[in-house]
Amino acid sequence: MRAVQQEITVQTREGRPVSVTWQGRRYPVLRLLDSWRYGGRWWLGESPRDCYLVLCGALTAELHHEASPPGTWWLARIQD
Amino acid sequence: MTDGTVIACLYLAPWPVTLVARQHRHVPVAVLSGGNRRVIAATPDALAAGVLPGMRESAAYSRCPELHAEVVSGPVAQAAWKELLELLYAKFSDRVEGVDGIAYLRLHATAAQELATALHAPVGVASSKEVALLAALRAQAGEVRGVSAEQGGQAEKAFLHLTPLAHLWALGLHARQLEHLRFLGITGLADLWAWSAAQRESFLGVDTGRRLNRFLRGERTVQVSRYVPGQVIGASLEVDAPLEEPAQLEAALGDLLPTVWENLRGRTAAYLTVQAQTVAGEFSSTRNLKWPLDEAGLLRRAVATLMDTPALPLGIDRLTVQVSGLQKPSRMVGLWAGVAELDVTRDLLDRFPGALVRVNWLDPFAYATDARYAWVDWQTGERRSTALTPKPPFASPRKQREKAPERVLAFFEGRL
Repeated sequence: MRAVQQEITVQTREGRPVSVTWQGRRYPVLRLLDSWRYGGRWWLGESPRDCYLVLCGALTAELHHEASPPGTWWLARIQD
Repeated sequence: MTDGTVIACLYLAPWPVTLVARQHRHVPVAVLSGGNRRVIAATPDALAAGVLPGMRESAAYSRCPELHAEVVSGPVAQAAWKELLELLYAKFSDRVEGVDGIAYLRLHATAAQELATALHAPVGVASSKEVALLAALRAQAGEVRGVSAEQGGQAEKAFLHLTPLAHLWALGLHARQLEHLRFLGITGLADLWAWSAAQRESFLGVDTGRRLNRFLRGERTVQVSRYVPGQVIGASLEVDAPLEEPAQLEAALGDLLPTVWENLRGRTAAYLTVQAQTVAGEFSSTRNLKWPLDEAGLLRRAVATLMDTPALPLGIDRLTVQVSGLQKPSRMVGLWAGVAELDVTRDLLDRFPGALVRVNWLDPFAYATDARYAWVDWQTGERRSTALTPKPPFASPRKQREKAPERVLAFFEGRL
């Protein structure tokens, strides 16, 4: 996995990611491989995040969604 | 042999295996080919465990589970070999040559033992390159095998008579020819010596046969060429009026040496060469330098080196100072592989200061990657921020001013 750590656009349905737009391309989420919740380093002002490992065709990506507003989506890592 | 020096052969073949084995001591080692990952060569303990050249990597592991197998690319092996030759030049002799794991040096007999001990490798000492190689093949690691050419060459002849067939490749015989000789029941050089020159030539072919005949007649290679160092630091000065007085010479060298000293950047050098151009031609003299170097000592040495030549009374028009055999002080002899890496790192950071980073582990068990580790600058240790790195909470100057009385009160009330 390669660390990317960039903000990206994610379309959701009922809070779950359904498609990912990265580098001008839209990747529909084919399968949700894993999901977990990361508490965040609260002592540094970080908010908790919902994390998803998704399979989007050729792309396997780890997405993080900040729980507090504005609810930014991050592309944390991708499969090399 | 001239002036008490001998030819020493340092045997480190096959070189890629030696190189890997130095980094992974106490385990059997094999070197693989880059494409199909087959074994090219292996250490004796790996061969004893059943690893054979030409075997697939998986087969080698199944024969010898503790095997360490690695691909060594040509440039890596070449770079390490050059580095070793440079080290031999700097530490042992100015006459060094060698390829593919076999190095020849001209040095004093006492230095040979030092060479074998320092590199923990077999060393053969003789009056010629061929005999030195045969002697090295029969020496153990860290041992010197000497063959004396005195007493009319009787000792050398007795030594050569005991040369086994497997070592005859050193005299130019191919594997196939050795196989044919083995089939005939030949066990060593003594049996071939009993043949006539014509028999040897007809059986081994013209090229190999003639080469072997010349060797058996006593023709040997006794020259070891002077090593051309890879890196030389030098400075040169051209003067309008020729230098004829020692004081003028000292002043000129005083101008030149700071440049050389600066370019040395803390390294030591093994040799100092001073060249002087005069109306009668160019004179050059070389002296060994002793560690530790200092600038004043270097100046004295340079003056003394030039005084070895008759250049000064003739008037010097152009003066050149060169140092070669560069090495880092206090570096162990056995660490060739690491030295190049350090040089590369330093050169890279000189050109691109921000190019390298180190990893700083924050929490290896964290559920998010950015909380597990952070990249920090190689030199300054400053953290490389990403978009996910938490920012320190921002407080405006006005808010800071408002909070100041609270902090003072907290201090006096013992809350801070």
